[in-house]
Amino acid sequence: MYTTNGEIAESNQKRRISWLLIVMGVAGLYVAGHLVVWQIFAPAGKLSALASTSAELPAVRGTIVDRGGHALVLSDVRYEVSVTPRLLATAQIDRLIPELVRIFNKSEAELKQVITSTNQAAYVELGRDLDPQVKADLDELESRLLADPTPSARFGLDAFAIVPSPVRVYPEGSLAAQVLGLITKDGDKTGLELRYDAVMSGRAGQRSSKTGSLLGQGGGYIPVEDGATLVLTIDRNLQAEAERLLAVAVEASKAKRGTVIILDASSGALLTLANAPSYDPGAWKTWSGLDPSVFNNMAVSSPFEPRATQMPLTLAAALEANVITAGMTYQDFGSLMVGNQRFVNWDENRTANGTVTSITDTVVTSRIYGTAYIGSLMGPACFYEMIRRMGFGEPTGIDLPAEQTGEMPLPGAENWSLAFLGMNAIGRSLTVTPLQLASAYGMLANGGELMRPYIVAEQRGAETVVTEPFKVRRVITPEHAATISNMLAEAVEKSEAGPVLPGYRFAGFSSLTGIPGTDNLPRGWLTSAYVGYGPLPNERYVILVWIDDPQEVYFGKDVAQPVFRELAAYLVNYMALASSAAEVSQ
Amino acid sequence: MSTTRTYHSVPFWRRFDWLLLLFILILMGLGLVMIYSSYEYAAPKEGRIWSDNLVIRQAIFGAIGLVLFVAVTIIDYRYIMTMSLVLIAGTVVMLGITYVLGHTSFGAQSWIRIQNLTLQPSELAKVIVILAGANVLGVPDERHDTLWPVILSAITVLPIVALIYLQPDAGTAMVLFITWVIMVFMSGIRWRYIAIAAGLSAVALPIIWFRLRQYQRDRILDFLYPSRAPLERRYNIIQALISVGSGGWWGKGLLNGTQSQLYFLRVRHTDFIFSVWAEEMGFVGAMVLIGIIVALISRCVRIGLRARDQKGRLIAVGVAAMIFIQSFINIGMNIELLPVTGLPLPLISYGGSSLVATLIALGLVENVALHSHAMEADLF
Repeated sequence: MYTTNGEIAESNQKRRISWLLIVMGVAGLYVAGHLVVWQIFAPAGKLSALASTSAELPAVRGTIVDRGGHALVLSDVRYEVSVTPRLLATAQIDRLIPELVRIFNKSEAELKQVITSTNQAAYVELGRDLDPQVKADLDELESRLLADPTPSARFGLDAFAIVPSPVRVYPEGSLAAQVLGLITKDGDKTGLELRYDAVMSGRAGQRSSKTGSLLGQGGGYIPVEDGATLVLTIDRNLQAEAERLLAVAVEASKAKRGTVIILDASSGALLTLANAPSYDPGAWKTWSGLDPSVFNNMAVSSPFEPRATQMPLTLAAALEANVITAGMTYQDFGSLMVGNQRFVNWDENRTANGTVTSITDTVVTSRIYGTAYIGSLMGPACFYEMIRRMGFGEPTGIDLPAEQTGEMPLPGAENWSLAFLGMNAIGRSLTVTPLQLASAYGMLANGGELMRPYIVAEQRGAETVVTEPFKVRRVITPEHAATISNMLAEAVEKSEAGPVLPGYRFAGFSSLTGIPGTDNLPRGWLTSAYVGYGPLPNERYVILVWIDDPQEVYFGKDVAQPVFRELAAYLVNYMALASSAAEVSQ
Repeated sequence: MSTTRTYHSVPFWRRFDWLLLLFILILMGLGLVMIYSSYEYAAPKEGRIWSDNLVIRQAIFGAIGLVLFVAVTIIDYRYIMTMSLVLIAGTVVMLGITYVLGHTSFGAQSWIRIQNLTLQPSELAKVIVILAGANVLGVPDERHDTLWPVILSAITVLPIVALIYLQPDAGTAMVLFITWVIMVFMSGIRWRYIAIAAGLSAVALPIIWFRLRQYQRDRILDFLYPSRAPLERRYNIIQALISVGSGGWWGKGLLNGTQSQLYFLRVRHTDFIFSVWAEEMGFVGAMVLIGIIVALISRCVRIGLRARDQKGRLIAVGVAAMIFIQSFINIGMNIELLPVTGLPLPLISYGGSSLVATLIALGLVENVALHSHAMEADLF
């Protein structure tokens, strides 16, 4: 068969067209296949996860106020503004630049550079963390542009994306920062922001299409439910005064950090929970270089040896257990062996030679010999049962995250020996958090009843939840509590510093404490604590001051006690508390 | 051949490929509907004059394009081809002007602004490249024993591709390059040359990778590894996927797409117009749209098969290839098959230059159909 060259070429080309058609067909089927996957067997979870972030109407996060209703944390909105330069004509850019210079407070050259020379980016950021004022300015600008008398010069700000993002605002600055907590840019939360996240975040609403297959089955509108407001038990003024005094003391003693707790013993409500040094939660740019520990709430998350501040609790336990009586005396021989551990008084007077000592004197002069002796008289079963009832070794149940319980070795544990009984009786070889200790002293102040501490008085949301004071248990009788309180008040009055305020009796006790494992006083790593309450006889307010690792002065009476005394005086004035004499005469 | 009828005795309306025009008109109509739904429907009315209305603008461009479509069919494509050198020179000059003092828009210097109109020479360049490429490549088969036709077409076409790439508009440059490659393949290049080219490109690909701009590399990497991209860079594609995915079988109904109507999609009337359609008309609607595009491409290929000569065949197949590549890339980026390149969906996306240029290209195809093989049979 004869064929021309042209016919061969033509059939060759037609074959190649079939090749092309095959390739196109395969590509078309690939697209169609993907459409089947996305539209019909859509990965619903993936899709709705993508969709829910976009179609959501975000709820406003709840605010936090102090007991007087003063705002501590507010929700506000900041804006991120970006522009897609390719949607703007040159004339529009020229028209916009002077306005943007005014709104964004940037130089003309800088803005021009951003808008005209960034060809590559789909859109460029003009600013973030911008005040609502910027949004208002842009809205105003747009309405002005759209009202331009020359029709061809009218344009909207379609090229701009103004994206709101919620932020937290702190009207009181660093006040109670560790209590309030933080929300980081990544969404990590601490403090109350974490503990009450579910309550405060509220419920986002949703707007969806009526006929949608995935977004809006049934469709419609779910209204937004804004987050609840937290009313704290914290008192703004007490908190501020405590933070001020604490910061001064921490700085003066070159301590690492410190905490102050003021507790209403009758209910367990925390009026103050201060930490120093602190930080400004609203100014994250200032955080670099801060010690990470400033973000911790030392009062609930840092256990220490209670040391001498344990002694009143040991005596209260012994009274309740009927091991001692208030009028009892014993002979102080200066040196006592409990198990394989020797106990000597802080003055290291080993030649006391059987001085007859009363229980009151034991408290007033902080006798290690006597306390260890009384502890050993109680025996392990009785002693540990009593201090466990005071809240040692268990969480207080405070409504704050990251609460620690401290360590309390118990008989039967591998590392426990009889020496622990003596050590624990004088507050060594066991640890408690400052809040546990304040709570135990609250028990003494509250006539022997241990209350659960709390910090949120009320959650005001769709429903209002009021926190009722919760009695954990009765630990000692009111009489025994009064006995110990009077002994502690006497100790204060007989101390070098004398009474806290004329006419007001405060019970109090100080300690110089070592950190576990560094028993080498006073050269070790120390903490200095003072716990007290008053005013007697209707003692109600516990004040705990705990300073970690003071460098210049060591003893509780020198570092923590001045803070306690000033705060006690402030409290009396602030709360207009009646004097002890007035109370007694009634 | 013993026919009494001559070429000119066959009336114009019988020689004219009406189906081609029908498919074009359907796609243009759908385009107007989609621009209305994706942009105008929810756009603020206040303070805008009639010429700001994108539907009206697109309709005007469509009318201009259709006039040019018809005008292009009047003169035999072989006469038009004789001017291809002049046309190429003109295109290079226009692209050069754009590059030097062009108007900055859409992330690239691809627009020349005249009064209130912007002109995108790179769109017109698509037509010129197909025309000139067909002219050089459409030579007698024997000449393909050497590489001369291919080399000549490369000299003609590649400077234009390079200029467009420099704008930088990698998407359009890529479409042009692939169109040219397909035309070379169709012209009957020998398989041995194809093998050599394949080997060379295997070497060249890594080099090209390192020559890409960072944002282009980012786009490709973002596509290959979606999780590496920051959310804001994936914003458009995520929104497009939600749109497409939420369409289901039948869609939400015209004007009811939450994604597009609530402004989640940013360039919804251009790059992502397909996802608006897929959301509102569902899988069925999407398949109908793709079906019409396929019909249009098939019609072009059919015209190519019946073309009078090699040059006509290459024009028709070249235009078919260009429409196919653009549609595939555009739809592909709407469903995360391909990286986002900012290419319009031919005849549908908003954009005057693209619409007019596509219509001129299709006018050339119509021209080929009018002067087709079957008609020639009558003539000679």
